[in-house]
Amino acid sequence: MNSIHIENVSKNYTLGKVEVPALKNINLSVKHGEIICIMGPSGSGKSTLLNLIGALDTPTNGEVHINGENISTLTDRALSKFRNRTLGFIFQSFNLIPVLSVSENIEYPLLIQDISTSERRDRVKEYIDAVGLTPYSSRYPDELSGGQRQRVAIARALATHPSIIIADEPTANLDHKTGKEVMDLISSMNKKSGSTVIFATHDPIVSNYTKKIIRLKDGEISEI
Amino acid sequence: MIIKIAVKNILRNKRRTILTSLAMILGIASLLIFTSFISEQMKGFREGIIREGLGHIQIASDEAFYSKGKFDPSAFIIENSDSIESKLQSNDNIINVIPSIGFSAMAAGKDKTITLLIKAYPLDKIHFANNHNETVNGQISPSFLIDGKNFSSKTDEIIIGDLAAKILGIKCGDVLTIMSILPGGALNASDFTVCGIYKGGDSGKIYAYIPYESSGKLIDSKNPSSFTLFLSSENQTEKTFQTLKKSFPDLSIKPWNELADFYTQVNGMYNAFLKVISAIMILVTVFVVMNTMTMSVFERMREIGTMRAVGTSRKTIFSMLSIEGFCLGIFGSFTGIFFGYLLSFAINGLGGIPFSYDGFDYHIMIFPAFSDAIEAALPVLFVSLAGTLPAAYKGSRLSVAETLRY
Repeated sequence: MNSIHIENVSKNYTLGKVEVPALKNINLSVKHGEIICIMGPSGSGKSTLLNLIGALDTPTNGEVHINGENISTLTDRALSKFRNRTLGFIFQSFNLIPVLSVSENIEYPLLIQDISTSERRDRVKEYIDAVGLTPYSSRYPDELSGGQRQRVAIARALATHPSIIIADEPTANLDHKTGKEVMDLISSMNKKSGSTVIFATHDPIVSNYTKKIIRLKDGEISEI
Repeated sequence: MIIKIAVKNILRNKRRTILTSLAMILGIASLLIFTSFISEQMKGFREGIIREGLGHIQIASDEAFYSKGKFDPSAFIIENSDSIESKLQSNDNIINVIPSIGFSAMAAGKDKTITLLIKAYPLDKIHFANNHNETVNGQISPSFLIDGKNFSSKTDEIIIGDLAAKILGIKCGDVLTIMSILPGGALNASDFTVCGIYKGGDSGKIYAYIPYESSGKLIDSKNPSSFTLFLSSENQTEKTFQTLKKSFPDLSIKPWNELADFYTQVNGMYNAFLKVISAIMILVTVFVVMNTMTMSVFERMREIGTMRAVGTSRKTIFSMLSIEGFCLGIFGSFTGIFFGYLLSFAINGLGGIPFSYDGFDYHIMIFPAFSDAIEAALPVLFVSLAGTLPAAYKGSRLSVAETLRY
């Protein structure tokens, strides 16, 4: 069974009175444990495609199946639960909750899962260790460097044991060396967890970590 | 965790939180001080009219007594007054039962005659204050003396108002002839020595006081036309009134507030005024909180999007934002109450709020009642939550993908 199966998906945005197509008739299948990279210039539809896979948006036409479930039919409440249990997000701007410490940021999605206190503590500790931020566990996001923040975001995304990790431009706000470190980390954790990983990026470093690259142009897949 | 995030978000933008709270704090503190000032003023007014003759409860033979009794007292004489008085005295809440009679009479001085309303109370139940600061409790104390002294044990003494004395051209020690109309139309007259002159304002040219013991011959009756009751405290009035109504179904019994028309009007006017101020404060709070929370949601779009992306439901986002508004309300309300009390201590420490009445200066002390504090703070607390709801609803309904683009 495919981890992700996208069938005839289109997405249009309305800008004033004009309807702008962001994705046109996309068909895509990703197997469990695969790492794929979606590349393309700005405005090609990379983030829109990731939003649809990540259940953050709904397609105008077509169906998005994740782990065999058609997520286009889920209610908002079911989608929230689905995102929490099935997906892990890594964003370009890290998107940490600024009023929570490093450990609290990692713990937050686990709380939504109703995981017991002791297990939460163990998992938070495990993933803080894994991303090498144990000395920084009580710090707040604004006390960390860009690379450290992205590590927290990676730990948060992985701590829930998601079957799919979605990373939108994870290295865009990082320098070359830190970007490579972050990619090494994601790659090694993918090997450990066996999660499916989907990147959207401009960065050629990222493409070095994937076997499958999907190129988007003007909302259409131009090359796989 | 949601409560923690909500509270930390309030503390995050301290300046905005302080400004929002300040609007509530100033509103609540001012309302509390103003309410207490009016309450103390009305309390003084209330105690004054109770002391001056209304007592806490009035008992008469008939409802019509309250409008016509002073012009035709003989029509409202209470029969069996001794047994009624002894029954009233057995009630634990009643500390003084004062029989009285009032009638209109002609008062002739040296060379002028005027009409006076005479009020007669037992010698041991009436006492004029010696100055405007003195308070006499538990007995009739119509005003304070500006000349002469209180009644002695003699029954042929009269105390008249300053204006009446001026019109009649008499002073303490002079003799005043009081002439009344007896039932059937006959006239009777008695001489009274002016033992005191009280400060009376406008009522000082109308009312004069004589001992109850000497009123019988002027109206040809030994029984009173009413009883004035003083209770151990004002808040016993309603309870005692209800008890007495059951015990004396044939008599007309009225609590003081039903007879104090002017007090009721002034109190109603102040209450309406307070409601207007309270409504303005509530409106200001709603707008300030709505503005703060809308700004807060707008600034935290991406954060809300992130929380939604990791699995937070709309309901939880709505709750989190509502808790923020509620916490702002709690902080503003409690701090407002605190500052209200602090301000009242400061005002009292400086000698109270100066107040001038009838040519005399008073200082009103501020003692905010806990119930007033709760009454001022509760609406603010609720409207701060209500003011949050539109922003909380909007924040919870935002599209996740759109919020992440901010």
